[in-house]
Amino acid sequence: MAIFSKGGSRDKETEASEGPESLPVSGDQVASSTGPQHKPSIISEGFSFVGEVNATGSLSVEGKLSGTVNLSALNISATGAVDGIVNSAVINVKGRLSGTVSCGDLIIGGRATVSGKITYKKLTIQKGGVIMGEIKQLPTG
Amino acid sequence: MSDTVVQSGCLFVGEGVTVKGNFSVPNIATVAGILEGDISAHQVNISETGFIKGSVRAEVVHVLGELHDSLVANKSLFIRSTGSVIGDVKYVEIEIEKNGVLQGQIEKINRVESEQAQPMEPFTPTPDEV
Repeated sequence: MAIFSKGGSRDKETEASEGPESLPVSGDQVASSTGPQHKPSIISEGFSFVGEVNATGSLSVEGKLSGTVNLSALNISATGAVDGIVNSAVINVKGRLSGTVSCGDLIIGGRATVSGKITYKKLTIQKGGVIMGEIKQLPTG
Repeated sequence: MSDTVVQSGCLFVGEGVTVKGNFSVPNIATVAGILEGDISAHQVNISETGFIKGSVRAEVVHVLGELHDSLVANKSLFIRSTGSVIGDVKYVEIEIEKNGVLQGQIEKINRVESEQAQPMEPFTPTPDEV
């Protein structure tokens, strides 16, 4: 029976381990993505965008975005900031949002700040979240 | 309601009851009926059947029913899923459950030690009663 030295065994073992060990990790990721239209666009940290955004999909903002925004889903992460006229079916805020906001579901996280003229259908604010300005509820349906 | 066992300094407006006037409540005010007027309390609980129209000042406010006109929550404001707050709102800390309603001019304030009713000493039952 041959006993491999450390150097000799490494090549074979890495090749063999890649198959079974990587399977459970990738399995979790695949479950959430169902099609290309669900891929979110991302404005990453340190990226600043000024202008108009129109999309039927979702956008994650980790950087800065100001202007007119029309989306179906907007996610503002803790480092993200959005300012301007925002229309979106769902807005999830963990960072900052200001301006004229019109949305269906508005979810404000515990460290988020939302200010301005806000119109919503459903509102959730986690403890510690901040909302300021003129707030109005639209009838749901 | 089990949370109103301590009755000293408390106000309870039962379902079907309508009261009007200005109220100063050192401890907890629980409203299950209709209250019209100004109320200042340490804590205000508005039950699902409760309705307040007027100005409310309190440290802690729990809303399961409806509150109209104006509210100052000097510490925490909780709006549950059945609750709605409409009017001028000032709060230090806020939490809203999904489907809770918040409408009007909303402002976050820093906590101020004001002239309002101070909370009473915690109620401790004397041991010889047991």
